[in-house]
Amino acid sequence: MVEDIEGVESLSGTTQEGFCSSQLDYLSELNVSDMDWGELSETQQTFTLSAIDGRMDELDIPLKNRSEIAREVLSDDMADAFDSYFLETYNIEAPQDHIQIEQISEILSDCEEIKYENWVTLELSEKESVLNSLEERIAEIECRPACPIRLLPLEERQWGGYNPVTKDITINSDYAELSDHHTYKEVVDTLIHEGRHAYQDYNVNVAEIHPRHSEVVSWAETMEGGKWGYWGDCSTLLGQRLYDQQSIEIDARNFARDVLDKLNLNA
Amino acid sequence: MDFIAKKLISQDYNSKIAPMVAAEIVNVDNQLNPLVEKWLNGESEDYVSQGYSILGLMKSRGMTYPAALLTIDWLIKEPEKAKQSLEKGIK
Repeated sequence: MVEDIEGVESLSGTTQEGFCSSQLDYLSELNVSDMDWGELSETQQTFTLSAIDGRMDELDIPLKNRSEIAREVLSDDMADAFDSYFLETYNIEAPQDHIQIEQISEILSDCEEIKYENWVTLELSEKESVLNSLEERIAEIECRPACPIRLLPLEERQWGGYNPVTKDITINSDYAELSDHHTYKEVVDTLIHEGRHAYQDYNVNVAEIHPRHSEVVSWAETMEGGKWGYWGDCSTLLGQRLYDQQSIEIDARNFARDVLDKLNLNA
Repeated sequence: MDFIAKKLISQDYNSKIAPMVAAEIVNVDNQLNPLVEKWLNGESEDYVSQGYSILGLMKSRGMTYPAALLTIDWLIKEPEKAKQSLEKGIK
């Protein structure tokens, strides 16, 4: 329903591209530069964040879109603060892992295009589209922003990767193009695996929503700036064992395996 | 171990990772100790285990000598786990 609040239309159902300038301006009115934000007292900051949230209520912005929109209209520090305020106010917590696993396997099970017999008939661009569509739904379950997924040629034995700087996921197009069942399973596994890395990154670096704090602490240790001071494919520097046995890799491997076990992708 | 960490830092390992990798190198299987000695003296000797070699890992997977040495060490100590990991690839 479109409401007219002092000439500002509701944003309900509107994509970012669908914002009109008056809507953006209405939200941006409360924006403060990073420097000025740091000068405000805690009380003033909370008051401002509450006011922004209130305007989002007026504009009928769904809760799941608020952090993303805040990031568009607010300065970086303010957007970070809004994330924390939002999670605390609305008590956002991701579901327990066993529920995430169940729900993700249901999504995959319901997706006709990801079924092996259909998957092998798709063009690469269509496969990319399917993977992006699945990632949107997986991200919603995991209470994190969705990552763009790109199919690109990578080195042999590199199935894919999550980039914590650009927040996107790359999957090896050379493998996505193959039709054998084993490779197909590994591509699906990679989708879940990399999404889990995105979830870990979100918890460590944006907002902790994972129900188990101790696990988030262990992930943080193996990330940039953490105790170990590295992330990602560090096998080239540390050898295969230290790469393989990072907490973030064990967690992502196990999570993906549990999803696929539930899904039962056997040919 | 400090000596090994310094050697790693001289080979562009950062100061956080170097001590950790040094601690691993100090505990490699006895068979690899002569290779560690040679590496500290500037030599890169090869070693084969379970069908993988140090120089082969450096060439095919872009590993540094210490990384490849530690991978061979894993292949010696836990051959099945190590092979599975190497065969599975990177995600």
